[in-house]
Amino acid sequence: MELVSGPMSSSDLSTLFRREHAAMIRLARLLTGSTVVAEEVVQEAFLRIHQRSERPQNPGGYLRTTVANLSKGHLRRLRLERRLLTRDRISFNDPELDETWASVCRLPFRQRAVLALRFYEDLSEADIARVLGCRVGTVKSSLHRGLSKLRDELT
Amino acid sequence: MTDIDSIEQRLRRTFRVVAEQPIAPVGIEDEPWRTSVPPLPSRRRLRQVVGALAIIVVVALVGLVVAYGPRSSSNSPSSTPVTQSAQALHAVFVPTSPQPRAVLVQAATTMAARLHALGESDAAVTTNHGAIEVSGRTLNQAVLRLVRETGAFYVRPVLCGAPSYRPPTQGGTPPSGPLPMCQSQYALTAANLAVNTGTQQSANNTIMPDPSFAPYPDTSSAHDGPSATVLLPGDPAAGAQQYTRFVLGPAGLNGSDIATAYAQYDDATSSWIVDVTVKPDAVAQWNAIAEQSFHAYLGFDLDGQVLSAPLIQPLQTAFTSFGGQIQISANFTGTEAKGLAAVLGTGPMPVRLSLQSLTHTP
Repeated sequence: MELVSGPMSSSDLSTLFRREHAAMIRLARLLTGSTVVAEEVVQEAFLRIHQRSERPQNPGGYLRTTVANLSKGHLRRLRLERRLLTRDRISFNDPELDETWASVCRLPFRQRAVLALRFYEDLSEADIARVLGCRVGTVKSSLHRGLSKLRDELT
Repeated sequence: MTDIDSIEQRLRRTFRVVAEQPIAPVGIEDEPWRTSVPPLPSRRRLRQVVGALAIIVVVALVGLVVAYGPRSSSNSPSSTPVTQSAQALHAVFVPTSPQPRAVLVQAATTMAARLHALGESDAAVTTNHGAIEVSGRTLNQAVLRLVRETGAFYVRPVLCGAPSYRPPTQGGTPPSGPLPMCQSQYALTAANLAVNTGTQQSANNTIMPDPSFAPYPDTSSAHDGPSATVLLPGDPAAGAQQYTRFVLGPAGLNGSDIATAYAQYDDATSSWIVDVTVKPDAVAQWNAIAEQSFHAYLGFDLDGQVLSAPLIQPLQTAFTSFGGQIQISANFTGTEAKGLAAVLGTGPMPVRLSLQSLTHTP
């Protein structure tokens, strides 16, 4: 990878957008539980990377962290405004999946985010800590709490 | 312990199903930085921004009119009137490396055929000192993008799915050498997919992307040759697909085997499709690769992106010939389907072209 200072060029951004857009929507959907919110969050994340005056060292990582932060902020704002968060009605044709997703959606944000980054994105605990901006110990305990809460509810 | 394991399994499955629900296709116009107004601010701020912009535009326009507006004819009798409708767009394309004239003429011919297929019948294509010039009154950026598209099309068997590219963390070394084989549990073979002809679906549609491909970047266009095994992303404009990226085998059919391609609206599925007819001498070849991928996926690779990767004849218990027909369906809009048909029906460009200049001419 070449070292470039200054903001990302438009073609760099386009490449990043094409490559990462779908993956980021998928992640944001897991974090927010809503496609509509996920789309907004991802648009905003790309806009932030565009508005930075310096190209981030690792644009993909920067994007993932921004998406995670914005997803969290979005949920908080929605709750404050007492708006109804419309969760996707996804038909799984599989009660087990329905039940699992409903339980995941009831988890606090950090626990859900840790589970999604661990079991969907397959990130290591250290990488999850970097994305969420917390300590590895927090990741471990969130992982443990999230999993045991799900185990209690689902078995 | 088994509890935890089964919870993990369920989580993985749930996350995958939720995450991989269809995503609305995005095009270049969806790139958020292309709009001057940020998409997310509150409505009040949006109104303020729009209001401020409107004021700036009005002030600028007034200024322009005062500075450069029409004078009375006695002031400047020589000024030529310019009207918008009389303007033509004039684009100059150059090959990315110098080419003999014959190649350039062939490229210009392909370009003219694409313009014709796109309904731009009044556009003119000329070659001029190593460049190709296109001008027309109804041309637009989208058309100019399509006419210079390389259009390298390959039909390839899908070997396995691959996750998004994840570069090695700092200090790690990227993998080198050719792509590895798909691990057997992730291979999209007919045996692994176990298509159920009753439900028209794979009984085992939860085959995950092979994680060992994550550190490998997409195959570059220079290496996207017919005999190569390649790692390509799904075309974002074609909508959500089974996997974010695909590992595909050597091509069994390519763009020069196509006789015609037409975009059609399919009433049965309420979607746009592209109907491709294969040249007579390639019909046997097409059916041979389709039969090899019976109850598995074939991928349509255009310029290094997978347009779609359909399951071959999931309804049927035995393979039946497609004759010379291929149907490509993805989440196309009418414009996209027509553009794709124009590119496929006119064959690939013999050379890569870049846009050198774009001017409005009276």
